[in-house]
This record gives sequence, C-alpha cells and structure tokens, in this order.
Amino acid sequence: MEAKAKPLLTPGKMTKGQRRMRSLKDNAPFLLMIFPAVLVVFLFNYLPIYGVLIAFQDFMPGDKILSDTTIWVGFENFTRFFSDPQFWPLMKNTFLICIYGFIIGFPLPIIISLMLNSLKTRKTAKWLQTIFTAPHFISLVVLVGMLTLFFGRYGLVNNIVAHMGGERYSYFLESSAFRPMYILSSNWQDFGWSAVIYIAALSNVDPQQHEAAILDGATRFQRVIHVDLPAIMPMISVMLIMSIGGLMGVGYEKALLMQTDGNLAVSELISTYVYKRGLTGVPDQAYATAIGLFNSVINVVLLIIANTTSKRFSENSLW
Amino acid sequence: MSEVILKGLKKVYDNKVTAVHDVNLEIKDKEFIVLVGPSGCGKSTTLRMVAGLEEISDGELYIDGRLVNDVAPKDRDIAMVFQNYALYPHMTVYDNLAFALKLRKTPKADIKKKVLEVAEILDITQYLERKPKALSGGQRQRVAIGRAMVRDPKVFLMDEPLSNLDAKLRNQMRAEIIKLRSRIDTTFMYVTHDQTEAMTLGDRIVIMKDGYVNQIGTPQEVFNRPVNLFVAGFIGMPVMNFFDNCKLLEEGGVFYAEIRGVRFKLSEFQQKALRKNGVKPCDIIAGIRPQHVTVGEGELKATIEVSEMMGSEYNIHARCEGDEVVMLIPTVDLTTDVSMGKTVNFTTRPDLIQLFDKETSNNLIWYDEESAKKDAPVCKSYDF
Amino acid sequence: MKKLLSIILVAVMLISLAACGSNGKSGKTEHAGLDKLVSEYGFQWEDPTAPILNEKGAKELSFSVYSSKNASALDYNDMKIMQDLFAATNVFVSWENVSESVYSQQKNLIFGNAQNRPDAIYHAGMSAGEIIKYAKRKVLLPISDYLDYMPNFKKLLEDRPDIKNQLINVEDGKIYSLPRIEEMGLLQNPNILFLNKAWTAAAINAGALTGVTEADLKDGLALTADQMTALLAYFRDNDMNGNGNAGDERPMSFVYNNWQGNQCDLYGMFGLNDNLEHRIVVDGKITYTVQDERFKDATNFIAKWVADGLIDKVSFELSQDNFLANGKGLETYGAFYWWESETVVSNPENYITCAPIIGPNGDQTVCISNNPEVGTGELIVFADCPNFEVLLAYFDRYYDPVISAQINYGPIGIVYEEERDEKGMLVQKELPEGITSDELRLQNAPLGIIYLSDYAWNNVVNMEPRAKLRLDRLTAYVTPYMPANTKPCPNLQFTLEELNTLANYETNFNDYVRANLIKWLLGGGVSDSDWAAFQSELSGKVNIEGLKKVYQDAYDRFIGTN
Repeated sequence: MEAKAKPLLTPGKMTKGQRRMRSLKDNAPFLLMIFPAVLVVFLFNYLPIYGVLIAFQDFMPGDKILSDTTIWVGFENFTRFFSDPQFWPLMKNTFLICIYGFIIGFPLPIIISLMLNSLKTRKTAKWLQTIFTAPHFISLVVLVGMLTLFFGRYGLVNNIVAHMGGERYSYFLESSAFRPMYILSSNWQDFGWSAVIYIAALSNVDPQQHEAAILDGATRFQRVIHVDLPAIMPMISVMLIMSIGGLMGVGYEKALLMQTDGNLAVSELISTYVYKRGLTGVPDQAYATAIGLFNSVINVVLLIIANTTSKRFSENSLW
Repeated sequence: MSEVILKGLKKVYDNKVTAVHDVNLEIKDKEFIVLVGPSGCGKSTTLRMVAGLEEISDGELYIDGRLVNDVAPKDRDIAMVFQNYALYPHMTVYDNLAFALKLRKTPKADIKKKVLEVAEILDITQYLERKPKALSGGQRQRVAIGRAMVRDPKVFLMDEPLSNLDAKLRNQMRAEIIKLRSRIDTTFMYVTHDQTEAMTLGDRIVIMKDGYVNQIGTPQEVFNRPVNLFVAGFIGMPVMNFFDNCKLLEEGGVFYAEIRGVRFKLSEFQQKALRKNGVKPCDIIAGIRPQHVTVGEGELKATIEVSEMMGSEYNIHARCEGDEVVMLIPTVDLTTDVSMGKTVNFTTRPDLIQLFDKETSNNLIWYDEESAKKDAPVCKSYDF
Repeated sequence: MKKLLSIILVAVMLISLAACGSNGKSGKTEHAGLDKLVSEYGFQWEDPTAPILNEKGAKELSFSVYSSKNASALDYNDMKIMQDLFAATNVFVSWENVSESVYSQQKNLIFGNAQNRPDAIYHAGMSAGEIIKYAKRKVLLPISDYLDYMPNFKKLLEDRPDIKNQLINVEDGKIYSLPRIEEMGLLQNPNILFLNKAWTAAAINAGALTGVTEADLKDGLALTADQMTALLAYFRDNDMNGNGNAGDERPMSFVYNNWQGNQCDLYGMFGLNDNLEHRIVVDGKITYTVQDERFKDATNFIAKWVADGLIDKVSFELSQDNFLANGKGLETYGAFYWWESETVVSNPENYITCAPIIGPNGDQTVCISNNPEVGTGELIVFADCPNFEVLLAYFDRYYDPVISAQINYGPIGIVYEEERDEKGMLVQKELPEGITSDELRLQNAPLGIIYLSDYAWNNVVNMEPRAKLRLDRLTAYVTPYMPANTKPCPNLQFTLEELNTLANYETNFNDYVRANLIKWLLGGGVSDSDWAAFQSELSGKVNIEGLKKVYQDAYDRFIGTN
C-alpha cells in the first residue's frame, strides 16, 4: 500500500545500484513467491550434494561427514572399483543393456505416438493408448513374475513350442536371452507411457497444417514426416538429450530379479554388483557412493556431449 | 474456364448437426466471391467442402464443369490459404513454396523457375532461405499465398487469411490481395467475418447465417437492398439504425411509414413496389443507415450522448426514445450544435428508409434476391 | 497486507524447518549410575528368578528397543511373553516394531541418526563386518565387559567356547552382540533324497531296475548311480502318473543353489561334501571343493543326467515356491531333494526316504552346509544407552531355557499349558479353532535371542513333531554318511583387513564359479582344457588362495582360542 503511493518514476537519473534496488522492490512479491521453491530445491537438491564427500571416506552411518574423527581414504574407494576384476565386464554389461534399451526404446514411443495420432478414429486411438499405457503400472516384481510365467521352462511360450514339436528353451538360463528379455519387457512396459508426452505434443499440432499438406497432395505418411514429426522434434531433442544423460543409470531391482546363475555373465550390472557387495559383505556406503559418483560423472559427461551436439546441429538444447 | 458450381450443397455432421443447409451458388470464371457471416454461419464449412477437406453430405459440386464430390483435394485443381498460414516450420521459404510441386514430381528446374517467379510477385525473394519462424506475420501470409500460387490453381480458396494480422497490416494485405488478383487471373473464393473485407474485395458477396445463405449480390446490392434485417445489420459500418415498433400505414392508397409518431410519405418507387408485393399495413421495423441521417431539421428528436469528431465527419451517438441512433454527418454539413446532452431534431429521406416486416424480418420491398437485383431509382441518390 | 502475509508465510516455513532439525535427546532417560540403581531402584542381577528392579524402577525406568517383526506377529508390546517378562523383572521395555522390509531400509538411518538412537535393536541382523566397524567407532556397547550382569549368558559362554569364539571381535577381543542359538542339528545337512515308491515299483516290475526288489522299497534304500540312471530314464520315458502324457514326469528335481533341497548331495556320489559356497573344513584345513578333480568328474556326471533329461532343466530356474507348487496336484516328481517330503508333495506316504546315492567309484556321502545354528548379531545395545546394566540383565533372562522356549515357540498360557508334564517338559496346549500351530507361533513368539540346545530339548521343551521327524530321518539316513574329518565352516570373525580382502574378491569369486558351473551343468559338462583354464583363473585373478588364507587364518583363530 505504501509502495503505491510513491511516484512511479523518481525524477532525475538513477544509479545502477538504485535501479537494481528498484527492480528488486518492484519484484518483491514475485521473489517472495519463488523463495520457498528455491529454498526447497536448495535444501533437498543442493545441500545433500556435500554427501558425495563420503565417497572419499571410510564411512559408516552415524559418522559425521566433516569432523576430526572422519576417516579420509582419498580415492581408495574408486581404485578399489577400477581394479576390481569385474570392472570391465560390469561396464560392458551396463553399457550394452542401456544402449540396446535406448536404441529400441527411444524411437518406439515416437513411432507409436505418430501412429496413434494418425489413426482416423479418436476413439480407437484413446482405447489403444490406454492399453499401451497400462503395463507401466505393473510393479517390477510382478513383471518378472509374468516373464517367468510366459518364458519359464514350463511357461506359456515353451508349452506352445513343445506342443508344436519344438524343443523347450530355458530363457532364464541362457545368457543370450537375458538382454532381449530384459530390454523388450522394459520397452513393452514403458513405450505407451513414454508416448504420452509425444501424444500431448502432437495434439497441439495445428490441424490447418495437415489440411494444407493434404491440399499440397501429401500422403498420410508424408504428412507424418512433414507435419507431425517436425512438430514434436523439439520434444524429441530434449528427450534424446535427457535419455543420453541417463544412459548409464539402470536400476538393480529388475536385473537382480531376473538374474540366474545361467545369465550371470551378462546380467551382472554395476548396480546389482554394488547391491550384492553392499548386502553381503560389510555394508559399504562409501563404496556405493563412489560408484554412484563415478556413474554420475559418466552421465554428466554424456549429457554435456549430447547437449553440445544437439546445439550445434539443431536449435534445440537443454541450456 | 474455371467456374465453380455449388448445387444444393449440404453438410451434416455425425452428431446430426447440420452446419450448411442447401447452398446454391454459381461462381463465374475469374470471379472473386466472398463468403461472409458471423462465426458459426457455415461459411468456412462451405469453403472446406469445396476444398475437399470436408465430405459433402448432400448436393453436387462442379469445378470447371467436372463433378468433384469424390475427387481427392489435390486433384481438384484448387489451392487454399489458411488463417494460421500453415507453413512447414522445418522448411525454408523456398522449400515451403516448392513442396507441392515436388510432390507432383515437377522437374527441378521448373520448380525453381516457378518459385522464383512467385516470390518475385509477392516480393519475398530475399527471404527464400529463411525459415518461417524468422518471418513476420505479413511475410508469412505472403509465403502462404505464394504456396498456393505456385500450383496455378483453377480456384483460389482463402480462409480468413487476414484475421491473424493487426489492423494496419490487414489493410495493407487487403490492398495487396486486390493487386494480386489483377495479376493472377483466376477464380477466388474468400471467407471472412469482416464485412469491410467482403465489401472491398468481393465481386459478389455471399452472406450466410446459421447455415443458410441469406443474400448473394454485389457489394452495392447487399448494401443498398438488404433482403432482410440480418443482412441490413451485418453489412455497413456503422451498423444501420433500427427503430422497432414502427408502423406501415395506408391512407387513401398512399403508404406512410410512421417512426416514433412521425409520418414519412414513402417515395413513388416504394409505393409501387409495396403495392406490387401486395403488402398490407402492418407493424414494421424501420432501418435508417447512419449515413442517411440529416441533423437540425425534421420532427424526430434525439438527445446526444457522445459526439466524436472524426475529421471529415462527425460520429454522433444519440438516444431517441430509448433507441440508440448513430449518425454520420459530414463536418461541412453540420450547422447544429451537437455537444453532449443537447437535444436535436433529425430526419431522413423517406426513399432511404428500409422497411422490414416485423414478423418475418424480411425487407418489404426487396424481400428476395431477384427483386434486390432490379434496377431501382433509389441507388442514384447515394452520393456520400 | 500482501507483504505482511508473505513475511509471515516465510517465517512459518523457517520455523518449521528449524523444528525439523532440532529435536534433540529430549526423551532420553538420564543415566542413574550403578549405586543409585541398586539403592533406589533395587537393581539386582544375581538371582535370575527374582525381579531385576523394584516397583519404583518399574515405574521410572524405561528402555526403548527397536525391532523388526514378521507380518503376522502381534506388536511386541502386546505379546504375552513380553508382558510376562515385565511382570517377572519389573524392567519396562517399550518396543518399536517395524516390518522386516522397513527395517532393512531404515537400518542405516537408525545408525545415522546419532542424536536419537534407540537403546537397542532386536532382530538387528548385524553382519560381522558391520559390528567391527561400528565397534571401532564406539557406537556399540561392549557387552563382554559387563558379563557379570548376565549370569545365564556368562555361563553359556563358559560352557560353550565354540559359541564364544564365533562372537568375539578379532580387533579388540570383545563381544558386541547377543546371539540366537537353536541347536537342533537340522541345518548341517539341508538335503534328503525322496523317491516315488509306486513309480519305482513299476520300474522294478518292468525290469528296468535290477538288483532291487519291491520289498526293498522302504526308507533307507540306497541305490547305485547306475541303478539311479536306469530308474530315472524309466521315469523319463514312461507315463508314470498315467495322465496320457509321457512328457510331464520330472525324473529328478531340486532347486538349484537353494539353501536346502539343492544339487550338492549329487556331488556326494564322488565323495565330495559340497555346499553352496563350495567351502568346507577337511582335517582342519579350509578346502574349496571346486579345486578338487572329483568336482570335475561329478560335474560331468551330473551334466550328463541333465543332457539326458534325467534332471529337468527347470530345476535350474525354479524358485522355491515354484518347486513346491509343482509338487501338488498331479504327481510329477520321481525323485527329489528337499528338507522334508511333507511340504513338497500332497502324498508323502508314497515317497520313501533314501540313503545317499552310491557313486560310480563307491563313494556315498552328502552335502555339508555352512548354515550356522548360531546366529550372531541378533541383538545389539548402543553404547549411549543409559542404565544399560539393567537392560543387559533383562535380556539375559531370554537365555533361560524356559524363557527361550517361550520366545521361540510362544508363551505359557497360549501355546503351552501352565502345568508341565512328569518329566518337567512344557506341554503343548490344544490349538484353538481355525488356526494352525505355525500361525499361533508366529503371532505370539517374537523369536530372536534364545539358547535352545540339548539341555533344553531334554529337560524343557519337546521338539516340534516335524523337526523331530526330520532329525530322525537325518540320524538314520544322512549323518552316518558324513566323513569324520570333514566339518562345516562356522561363523568366523575377521579383521578389518581380512574383511577388505573378502569384500574385494568374494563376490567376484562367487560370480565366477556360479557362471561357469551352470554353464557346464547345462552344457553337457566341462572339457579338460576348460577345467584347466578354470583352475588357473581361480588361482590367478579370482584369487582363491587369498580367500582361502583369510578363512584359514580366521578358522585357526577360532580353533586356537577354542
């Protein structure tokens, strides 16, 4: 109320500082409004970052991260990981499962959303979308249970094969079957869900664009290529950058659930290995943090590469 | 030859809503026809049926003598310009222009020639390598027009092409379209909700409301001889003044219009037409265009509420027994004090009064298109 | 107005945040000191039958103990045995119960919240490594320093140096946790071979199995490997269960690498006492079975059974639940390894208990597992627990045989009659309607720290009938085949350095062996060159000798201080 009474412009020239104060004052309500958000982000996203310090310590829960009793070990946790005989196999397994998953899983939702979008009847599209989205809500444990029911030695697939005179095949015991099963089931579970974001973007496409293309003589497919695809291209770039950034991040739960001795050679990932070492030996938060930090560094590097590349070749980038 | 004939064209949507009832229209070769009406009147739907973007529920559509009801849009030999430009955002202006030709497998050299030619006409040659995002609204609209032009269509369809532009640009583009029309000699179908655009652009104007065509005619016809209350109100700026609860009287074989207790003896032409139409005395709504009001004489009285000096003319808003009356008076003709709150006398020439049947809201004299096309002496007196 | 409102908002936020961070040790009781405990609260620990505290102590002292509990158990505060204990000791314990999965997630948080830890954790599930590390940081109470307050436990340690040695921290020679000891002799041999009597009879009648008559088909039957091969082949090829499909019989089944009912007994045919870790003690030496040539021969022999379809490959991918579910309904199991036959098949009377298979070279022995009957790390007390003397005296009561029995099976009054029988044994009450004995037990018994061994089985509590049955079967058909010089590897205590070695190599060792073993078993066997490569890899990068040394050192300490 007080502020209102003041004249809008003070006569004469203002110094830079005055002007800054002025804009601060003018924007005070807005600054106050974002203050809680900034505070929350700072408290829960930035403050905990100092926790990575424990990657350089011999840490047990209850220890103070910074005090005279802290046991600093330098890069020992990292060297332990790098010199682990499993290091390269783990890197390879993790990388392969992520990269294959990415190669199949990234374009799939785009294709699906484009297909759903060009369906003639809205009703069918909605119906299909619901069906495609539903698997996302299945928990991992149930999903792996389903896989066992379908692909187990006495599961549905094998029963059909056996019935038709084929040999039963132990999908869970063959290491060659692990990646396809893992990746395809993950993609099956998530393609509909990931398509939602593209479908939303597609629903914003101006119908006049399509009509103009129809008049230009474009076929349905040409319209998808020249109208729909360009419309979701910015979204695709952003998603691409983000998924490249998360390329090495794969959880341990599903791999662990699907793990058998038979597929151990390919199903042992960084995350499952860390989990096992954490659970079976001495629970080693510091070691796990070190590996997590290493993983994050890889991801950040990938993210920066992806973003720079994207910036160079298109107008889209995260920053 | 590229005339377009709409015969009983009808559009019924799946939910049984009829958007267009029975449109009959013959568009002559190289004619510029404008479909105008308030939103939801079916003008766009009609255009889209011609374009092939909407299925025709009933009736027949001929383009250049060919029945095209079931012909794909691209084979109808038409081109369309959209309100939102509908350019391909990822292509340069050149590619946008060339796209349709590319799809038709036109040789590259021909494409280039054609695109450059069109770009020249539209004055967008310097933008050919840009993407639409880098262009202004007017420039984008030009590209959109150019995209239609490269195809040398028989019929040029435009769906509110100017409504996304600001007022100044709109005027400018309007002029350009007129110029353009003289250069590309083809048939135009133009949809707008703006009567000014319709009046300035169209050879003929089709006025639609609620899916029905109300009147088809030249700008003069629809302005001077509106067939009903709606057309009278829709066409013309400012809007025609209507006086409800007036009476058409007959005394000794002579018709009078009684407006707010003041009698006007109708002109010879009106007398004749009324008699010929077999009109009996009845309740009417009288219409007087703001341009036809004379201030400072006569017996009608109005209190001035607002008076705007527009330079060459005064735009006066007054109140006459509850009805708002707008008067457009040339400054040079104004002798009376028209400041706010003053009560002034006003009148009009009886032959300029439009008489609408209160029940049917039809014009009692030009109740249909045929009569509206007749040459009438009243035209000559429009000399403002 | 607006400004004021936003300032208030921010202030409220800050205050609430500050409040989050500062809930200190407000609720903790002060340490009273031993003198005061004795004089004021009547603290006594020498008489294990009298109350530990007086009425005043019951009112004014309290302890908070954090514990996970199984899903069907009552809240420990509401358990009769806990209320009985309070009545008998006047020590008030306030239990904070969470589910097992929540506990595993929260364990680190509890330790991390250094300002506000409970007094003790029951069902703590502490590994030796954790105990060492926390002990070094003085987070845990060195219980062995205060054994005077724990007469039962002290006596236990004196009587059983082997148990004591499983508990002692190598670094400082102290004990930081209380164990669970349930010695029934059931865990050491996790497998028993069961054979389908009717099917075998059919095979004998068809002439497929020679050297055995129908009269021999009773518990204790010992078949040679050749006989077993012929018998399993007959199961494989014929429609034994008569459902018209000759393909759904599973000649031999087990659950690969399960903690019981696993494949290890098959290695007994070649004289190996294998287990899941492939680590046993032979003549006091830590031995890895995977380094034994016989392991290769056995693997090849078993792989041939797998290749011939005598062992269904499904045994390698089954979970325990699948295995059990498949046994019900239509009869499909010919021979199988399991803990007991009763839980597997719906008609156990049709299955006989076999002695171990006699191998091609006449060897006949069984799996010796390292499953310990002593669970260390079951309870820990935090070093900052006030009046820990009282808490220790209280938990000491749990080792009283009668209390142990009630902790393990359920309290007198619900599970047991008030009156004992003429031998002084606890008598099982009749079951209430609509509840199984397992359910009643899980509801009313907290399990946890106990000491049940021979003395208890002979003087206090009868073994459950099922446990007794298994013990009888083991005594008759399994334990006689155990070589005298071979022992399981007990709970060992390691130094920090040794723990680091284990951390660095053991997961990798397990992965390496497991990945190869299943490859061989499913792929028809191991060639001599592969075996040689395996051996050199084991002693090379996998560092089996390093692991062996760690275990040997730890075992020597265990034996030496024994």
